[in-house]
Amino acid sequence: MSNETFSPQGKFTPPKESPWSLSTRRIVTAGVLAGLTILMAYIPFVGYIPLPTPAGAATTEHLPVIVGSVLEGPLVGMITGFFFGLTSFLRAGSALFKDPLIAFLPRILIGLTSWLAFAALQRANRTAASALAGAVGSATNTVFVLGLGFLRGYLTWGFIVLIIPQAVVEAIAAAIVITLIVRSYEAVRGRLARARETRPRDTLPY
Amino acid sequence: MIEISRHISFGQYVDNGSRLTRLDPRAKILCFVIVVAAVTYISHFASLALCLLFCLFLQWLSRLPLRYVLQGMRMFISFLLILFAFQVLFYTSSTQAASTIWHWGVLTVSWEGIIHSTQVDLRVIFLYYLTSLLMLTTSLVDLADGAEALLRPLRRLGLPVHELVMVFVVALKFVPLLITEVERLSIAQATRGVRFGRGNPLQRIRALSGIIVPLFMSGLQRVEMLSTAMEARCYRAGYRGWRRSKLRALHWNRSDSLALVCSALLCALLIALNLVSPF
Repeated sequence: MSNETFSPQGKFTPPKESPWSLSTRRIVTAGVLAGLTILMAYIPFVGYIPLPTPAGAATTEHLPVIVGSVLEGPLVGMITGFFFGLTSFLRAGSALFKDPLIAFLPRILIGLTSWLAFAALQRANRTAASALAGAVGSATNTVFVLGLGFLRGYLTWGFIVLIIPQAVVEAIAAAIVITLIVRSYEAVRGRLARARETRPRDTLPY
Repeated sequence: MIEISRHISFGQYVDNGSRLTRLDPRAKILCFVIVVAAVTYISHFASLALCLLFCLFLQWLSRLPLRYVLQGMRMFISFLLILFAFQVLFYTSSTQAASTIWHWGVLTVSWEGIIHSTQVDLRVIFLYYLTSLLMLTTSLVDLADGAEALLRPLRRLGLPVHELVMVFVVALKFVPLLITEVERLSIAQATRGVRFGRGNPLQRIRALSGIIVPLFMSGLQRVEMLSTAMEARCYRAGYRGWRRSKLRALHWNRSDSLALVCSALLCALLIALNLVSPF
């Protein structure tokens, strides 16, 4: 908290700390996002939306993971991703997700790839960066789950081709929702910051 | 969807000073792990009966009202009954033709299917019971302390054990809070005329984002509050060279060793019975 900086306009600038360290704030964020992941998995129509497509359901469970890695760095994303893997492993009905390798590894990787995507574009444009992070995170999930499923012989080529349209829609939806969440959260934090007295009282806007 | 929290008593802690509550959390977790491992392995009725006896014994030790525990399991068991019907109807094996009772298309009811599904579901009920009993007799803080003490050797490998346990604790603590939040949000959105679970996929996703985005916002705002509160109380994580001490240190008593020996014996007995018994 202490090393966050607030410009005079009250705009939020992210804290400068190593992305690979675990602060109190990061632990709590990972915990809350993991709680969200667990919760979403068990509420009907929220975590897994039943759809009449070959995959049977679209997931929104990767959203907390991507939000975690965009806001607090790869470690938070990867820890939340572990919980995503855990819930999908525990509620799995098919052999595909009863394989721990397929349940956990792609989901942990979401945290890493979406953070890399965000960090690459962060300097240029935070909105575009969070949209890209959403799309990349969702694509990581699809590509690695399907790829590992194919490599380990659970899926066939025909099935994978059938899933591609849904994967594209999921990636676009993730990009939109992640941008909404990240940008509105930063707006809220910026507003919180404005209430702090970072400059002399008589120059404050209120 | 709205009344979720009223049906879930899972994960609540009842401090009634019974022997189970007073057991060292490390001993409880170890016993839990080995008994659960044994219960997942067994499949025959003889060992399941022994398991039932053991559960009754634990229930007596815990001095919890039986009605309360069963009420918490009511929803789970009704869900399991529906699952049971499906399991029986879609059961397939090469030897079931001999015991078929009723057959229509792909649906078959056979004695073999019924017996197999009963065994599987009894096992699941025992597992659920053991887990809920562990949660009912151990506070979350104790559970976290015990897990941290047991996982301490992993620190040698460079794993941040304390931090990961903390994440678990926060996640479990936040689930009920977030459930009430979801209820509040879905009521608020329903008042505004949003319909959930209807319409085409696009409409469904739009209705959902009205819940998901505010849910994330309130969760992240709670992060802000909680982490400030923790840091105000001098909580430091991931800080090399600090050794955290505990307000309540764990003590390993003779009864803990006794519990551990008893559950190890029980596991051996369960597995032996499962190997010997014919059905």
